[in-house]
Amino acid sequence: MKDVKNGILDNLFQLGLPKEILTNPSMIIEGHDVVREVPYPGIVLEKKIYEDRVDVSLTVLPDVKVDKPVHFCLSKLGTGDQLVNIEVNVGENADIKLVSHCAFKGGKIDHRSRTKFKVAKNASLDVTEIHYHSEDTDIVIEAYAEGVVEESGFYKSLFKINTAKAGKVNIKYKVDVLDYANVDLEAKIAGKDGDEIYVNDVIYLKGKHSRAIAKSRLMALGNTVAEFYGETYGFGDYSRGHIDCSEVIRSNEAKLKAVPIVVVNNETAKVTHEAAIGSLDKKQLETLMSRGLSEDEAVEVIVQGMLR
Amino acid sequence: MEMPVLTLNDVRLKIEGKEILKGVSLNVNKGEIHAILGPNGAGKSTLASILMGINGLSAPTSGEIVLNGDLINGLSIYERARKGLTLAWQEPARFEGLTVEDFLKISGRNNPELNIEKCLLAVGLSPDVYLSRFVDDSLSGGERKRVELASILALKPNFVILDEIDSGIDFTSIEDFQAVLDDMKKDGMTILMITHNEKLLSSADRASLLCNGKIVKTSDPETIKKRFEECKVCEVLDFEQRESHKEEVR
Repeated sequence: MKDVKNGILDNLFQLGLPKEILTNPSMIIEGHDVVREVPYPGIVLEKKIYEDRVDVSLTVLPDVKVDKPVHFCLSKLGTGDQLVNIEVNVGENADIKLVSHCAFKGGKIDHRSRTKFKVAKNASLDVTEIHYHSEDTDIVIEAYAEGVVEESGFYKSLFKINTAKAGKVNIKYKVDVLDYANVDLEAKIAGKDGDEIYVNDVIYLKGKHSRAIAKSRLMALGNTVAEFYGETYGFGDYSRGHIDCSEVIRSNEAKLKAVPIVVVNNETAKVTHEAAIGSLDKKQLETLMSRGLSEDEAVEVIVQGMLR
Repeated sequence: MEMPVLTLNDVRLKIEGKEILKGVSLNVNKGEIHAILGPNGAGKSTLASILMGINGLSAPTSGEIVLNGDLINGLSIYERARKGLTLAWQEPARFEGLTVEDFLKISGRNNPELNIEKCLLAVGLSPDVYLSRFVDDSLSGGERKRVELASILALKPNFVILDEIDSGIDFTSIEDFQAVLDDMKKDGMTILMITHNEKLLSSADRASLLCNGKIVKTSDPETIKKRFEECKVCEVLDFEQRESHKEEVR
């Protein structure tokens, strides 16, 4: 069993996972099996393993400040399905940074995650979801997260696919933002030939003085469909929201769409948006080429910078 | 006899029917700092573009650009770069997510003696402060320009075009700038310094005056400086008009 687990870890590190996952508080889920857990005081981590899914619950006890990032790794090495239901509860005045590594290698993979979260009063939840896909993976990703950020709470989410081959990606975030709470959603994805990327952020600014920004950076480097829908509803007194979508196109066969939806029913609320679709910056390309990089190498450097 | 690294033979460029370069001929010798001085609108930046092949200008309408004996008309930017030619941009690009360290490492990836800390120190930037900074809008114009110069030191090309390198940069004295040029020369670079700032001419070995799309004189920097003073009227009159005006006065 130990050898099997070591084999899984070796594969994950080859895909780009950081080694600190071994020392930081963490949980590694391969397919529908939990292969490694590193606990941390103040965090209650529970799991239920089923044949067709894994249910995980993470609770940060009130007032606990987790002083190092907590790593989740959801992986599937080879053909198959993965369904992970995740529940995250951050107690009052608690503070946690989660890094979720999603690593997929080879075959035909269907990965689905359903996340429910609650950030209590004065608490903070900072989530980074990084995907690593090998070139030979035919992957479908469905990631859905829904939650509430209570009074003066903070929630930040960054979703990014680090490899140029994204697959068929459908992600949706839905967040209720209560009084004085703050939310920051960002997605950074590059697609190549045949990739389909759909991002939908839905933010309800329900509380007074609630704040939110939904930001996306989508890049279509070949025959790619990429669509961003950013919906922000300004309901709370003096609530403020902004949608920022910037998409880069580098193929006449790509189809890009950016749709900001702004709904306000409170005269003191304000929600703004900006959306732009354009080609890669010519001066950036020419600068890197003047340093000896080929056009493809220069594009790769620029895209990796944007995905950072 | 000095050996030219770069030769331009009667280079002409027409854009949308308008002749921008009107027969530029020039030799730049190995290891020298050759300044191209000229007023605004003389064609200096167009000359830099056509030498590097940027802004869609990969070949002149007529004439030859020869680098180290090879005709480079029509070559792509990176093919020219791989022949040892590069450009320090007048207004350098900004990059999202790319640190100064990344940028210098990319520039110097084929330099076996690459020392990025030394490159930064040479342009007056502290590695402790700047290596982790992003080459984006968070850098001031002057800082970005210094990083551009550091990237040239990292790249260590055979031939560098410095396009208005002093604009927006806060070198406290001409000596600071001279020190950077000295480092470049020490690394074996030949430098074509394009400028409209006559004060920089003291750094050059030779200079040429570009006026209204033509090289009107190549000589020592002092002579070119004097000629530039005479030619300043070119900003309102083109050079030929100026010469005929002088004839009339005589």
